[in-house]
Amino acid sequence: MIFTIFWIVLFERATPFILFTAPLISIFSIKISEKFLLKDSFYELYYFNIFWLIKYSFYLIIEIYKSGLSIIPNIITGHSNPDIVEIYTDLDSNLQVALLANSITLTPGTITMDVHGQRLKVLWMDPKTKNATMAGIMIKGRLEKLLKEVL
Amino acid sequence: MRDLISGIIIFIGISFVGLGIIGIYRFNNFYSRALIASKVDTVGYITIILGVMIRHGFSYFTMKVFFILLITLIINPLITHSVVRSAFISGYKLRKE
Repeated sequence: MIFTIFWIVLFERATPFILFTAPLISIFSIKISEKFLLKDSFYELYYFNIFWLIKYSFYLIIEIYKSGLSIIPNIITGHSNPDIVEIYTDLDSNLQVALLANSITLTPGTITMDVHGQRLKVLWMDPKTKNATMAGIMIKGRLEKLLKEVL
Repeated sequence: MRDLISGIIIFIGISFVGLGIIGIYRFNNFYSRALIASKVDTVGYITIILGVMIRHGFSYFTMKVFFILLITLIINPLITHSVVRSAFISGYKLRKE
């Protein structure tokens, strides 16, 4: 579905010929990637609702702007005290942990450095606590709850 | 009207990027620089792209730009992660300023 829209947008027009070839090409590309790259069914690995994805990215962008504004005073005063904090997650599947780690890296001020199972090493701009659970609550916020809903 | 709104949004994005560049030259430590640089290419980039999309209205061009935004949002954290992780493994020290 998404690939079909992508194909139409790349051609910049929606004639019947393009509308006919688009699903063929998208199914073909999914089959090829299943066979050579994933070695498993596509829908078992990456199954999620598209509306949930839109909601999640909306929250993520709000979160990015919040922390982006909160980092401005650090730039102006030139004060920085970077440190490494370890946090834990309750998420199980690999996809969820990868999404969480990528969202943490996307928000300015925190970068995920290492992932071992359910333990994440996070580089933080200005750590307020060194305690693992408190830091986890402050960094993850609502993202983890939203991630739990879906899978 | 649309031109005015998009102009304001692009201006906000460029000011974010400018602040980020000031930050990069202000800090000397590697990790602080990496943290500030990740601000430039998330907040500033998203704002500028939104401004461009609003200026152009709804067309194929807008959707192409939107796809570029999505792909960048996926790839950007991977690159930041790999750079910082390789620095950490090769033994950079954390320093206060």
